[in-house]
Amino acid sequence: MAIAARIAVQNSKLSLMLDPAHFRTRNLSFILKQPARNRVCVLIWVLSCVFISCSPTGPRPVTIFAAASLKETISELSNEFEKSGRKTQVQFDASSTLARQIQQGALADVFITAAPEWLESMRILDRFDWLSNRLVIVVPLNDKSSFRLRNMKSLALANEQVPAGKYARAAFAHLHIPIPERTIYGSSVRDVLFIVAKGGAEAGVVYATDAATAPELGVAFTFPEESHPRIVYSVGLLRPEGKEFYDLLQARPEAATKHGFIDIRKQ
Amino acid sequence: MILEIEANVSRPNGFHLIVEEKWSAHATGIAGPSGGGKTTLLNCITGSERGARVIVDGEDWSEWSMQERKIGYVTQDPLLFPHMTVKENLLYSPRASSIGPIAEMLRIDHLLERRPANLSGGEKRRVALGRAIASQPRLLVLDEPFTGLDEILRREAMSVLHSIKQWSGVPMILVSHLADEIVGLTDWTIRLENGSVSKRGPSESVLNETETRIDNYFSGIILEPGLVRCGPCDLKVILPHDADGPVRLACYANDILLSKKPPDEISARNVIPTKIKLIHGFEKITLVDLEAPSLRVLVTREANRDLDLVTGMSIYAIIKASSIVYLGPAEN
Amino acid sequence: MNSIQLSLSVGFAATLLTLPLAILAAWFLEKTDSKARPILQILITLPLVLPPVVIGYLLLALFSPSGKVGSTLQWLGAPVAFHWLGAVVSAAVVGFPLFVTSISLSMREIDARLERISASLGASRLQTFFRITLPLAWPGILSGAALAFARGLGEFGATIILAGRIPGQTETIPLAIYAELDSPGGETKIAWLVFASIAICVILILVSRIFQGLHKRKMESES
Repeated sequence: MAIAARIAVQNSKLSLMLDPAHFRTRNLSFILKQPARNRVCVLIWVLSCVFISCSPTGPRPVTIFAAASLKETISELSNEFEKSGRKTQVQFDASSTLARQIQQGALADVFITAAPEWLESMRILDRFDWLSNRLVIVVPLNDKSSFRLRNMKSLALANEQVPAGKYARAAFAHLHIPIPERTIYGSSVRDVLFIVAKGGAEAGVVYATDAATAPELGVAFTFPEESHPRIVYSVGLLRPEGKEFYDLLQARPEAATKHGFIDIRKQ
Repeated sequence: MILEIEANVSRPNGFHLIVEEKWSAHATGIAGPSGGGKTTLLNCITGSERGARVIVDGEDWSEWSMQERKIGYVTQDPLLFPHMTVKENLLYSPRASSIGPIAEMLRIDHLLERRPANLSGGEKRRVALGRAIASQPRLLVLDEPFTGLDEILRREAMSVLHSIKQWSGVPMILVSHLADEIVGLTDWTIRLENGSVSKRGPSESVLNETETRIDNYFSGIILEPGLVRCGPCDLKVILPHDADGPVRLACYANDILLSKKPPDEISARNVIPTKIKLIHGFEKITLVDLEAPSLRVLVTREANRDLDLVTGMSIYAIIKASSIVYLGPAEN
Repeated sequence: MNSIQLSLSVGFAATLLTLPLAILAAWFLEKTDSKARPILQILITLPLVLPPVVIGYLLLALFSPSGKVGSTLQWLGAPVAFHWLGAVVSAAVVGFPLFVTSISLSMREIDARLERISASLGASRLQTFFRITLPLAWPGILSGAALAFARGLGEFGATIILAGRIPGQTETIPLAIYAELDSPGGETKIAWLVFASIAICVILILVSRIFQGLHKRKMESES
């Protein structure tokens, strides 16, 4: 008799545990029984998470992706543009890197590239060819006299996909100049300047406009234009939000030519 | 060995050890309750606590490091090097040479290739002792070497220490809070209480008068294993295997029972018919001195009253064989 | 040498070079009472909190070929900036804190009383270090080495600044992956490099665990 009673009690306990309603009420009462301090802490944490995940609101700034060489030019133009009340956000990098980012979904309104072919694989609203440049070899100023074009010990180039890197290789091949075994690659022409300035290589291939920005470096050689593909900076309008900036670029080639760029329409 | 020590140590928790002692003994005991300063004093002697003045046999050790003092330090926790075999542990000291005889005496010669993880507690302690002795120390220091062992292992360990003491001839300092270990193995004892020496002197006298419960020391001759003739009676005693010849024994006054009638079918192995010689009554206890053998028994005041004990009364003293403590061989 | 070979050579060199330094630093932190310990602790933790690019920049300032240190090293035939050694230094610096912390932890776990017993038995501080501390700290040294190696393997920021991307000399796996990002059809190459990285790490973990197991068995063996 006693055994039967004990089994009955155990069974009822088990069924109670498995009953979902009972399970819920047990846990709810557990939560409610927590001391106030613990509950407040959890609440603060939950609110913080919500707060952090909510992105700030406001009108989106005009996003411009520009080839690294155009840093000074586009910075000045965007500062001027902001005076009209619209905010801008500019990203400078190698054209190939920026193109990849756009292809992978980065939000850009205007894309200024040193390699126009990138625009072909994008959905653009409009485009125009804007500037050109010259390809040069820079060396530290002190070493300018001792530089031997056909006897370089080390060389800094932009990565193979970067326009400047591609053009450099083409130029060397065309002129039958051997590329030294010790070649160090930079992510953009500005990176190449950095490497040469820091002594990472004896010489580096950049655009003439880039060389002008580095006072400690000097141009040791300028590549003849026929030795490499034509250097063309094209502007692509990717989204309507960029229209005003796009028009500004078209209207103000002198903002670039004053830094050494060549107006392509005058070429 | 003549030891001179002057120590003044303060600890952040308020404990102060102030000791200024000089004595001569081959084996010294340091006794006292836990927290009294025994380990601190030991640290001053071994050198892990610097700043104390320590002069051993005329040599000033005060400025010497632990390494220079050539002390064989055996801690309560054996602290064997876990990544080495027993043999490597024994041979660890740069001063160690042959360990054969030591290993044999300590009965660990069959364990040489084992690692500490595979040793029993007693085996570990013996290895620790062997390691200390093999380092050819000037002084052997043992910190509570028997604490934590059960009764039988403890007696075995004490006899081992006896043999070591005789075999190696190295002076020894033994720290313990148990009286029978100290009395059995040492000649001179210092009692530390609350950071200062409360009593010093020959071991038996120092401990007899204070916290020890041992009141009965006697000697006898082993007749056969487990049987010792002590004067007029033969006692059944638990002895280690290799005990032989004249031995010293002791027994706590509290462990002896009195019975007016001869006990019937009792588990105690020793029942001694004797007479009451003297009764000392105190506030809570009564000490009863017996004759032949001359034993002191402790009973409660109530028991004394209920049994109605009087001087001259015939009485039976009942002692369990396991209550008789083997102190060691009797030195002639 | 291809990127995988370079990553391995850089990783091994970095770990081997920092091994004695890390052991020394951990010993200094755990087993001495020097007042200089907090300073050392901060210095060791710096590479952990500084952005790798900043680390690279600071290292470049130190090892610049135009500076004293850099030119001396160049004269000695061991140039760092923009050379293979630069990749090694970058990997070594970022892995160092992990290395030291791991060894510190295992040294801390060693019962200090064991070292005192060693001294009482007559061993000098140096002997105690080599016979007791080092063998017992071995598991921590091993796992620290594995961690440092793995961290160095993945280092990008400091390497690209200090050593630059020089194929055959400093182009470790992360740098090679970065370079292939912009190439059309570079996905296969990247996938292969990523797979190689994962494989190296898995092998690293396995080897480290095997050694730890061996050590454990050694401590407990009956022989």
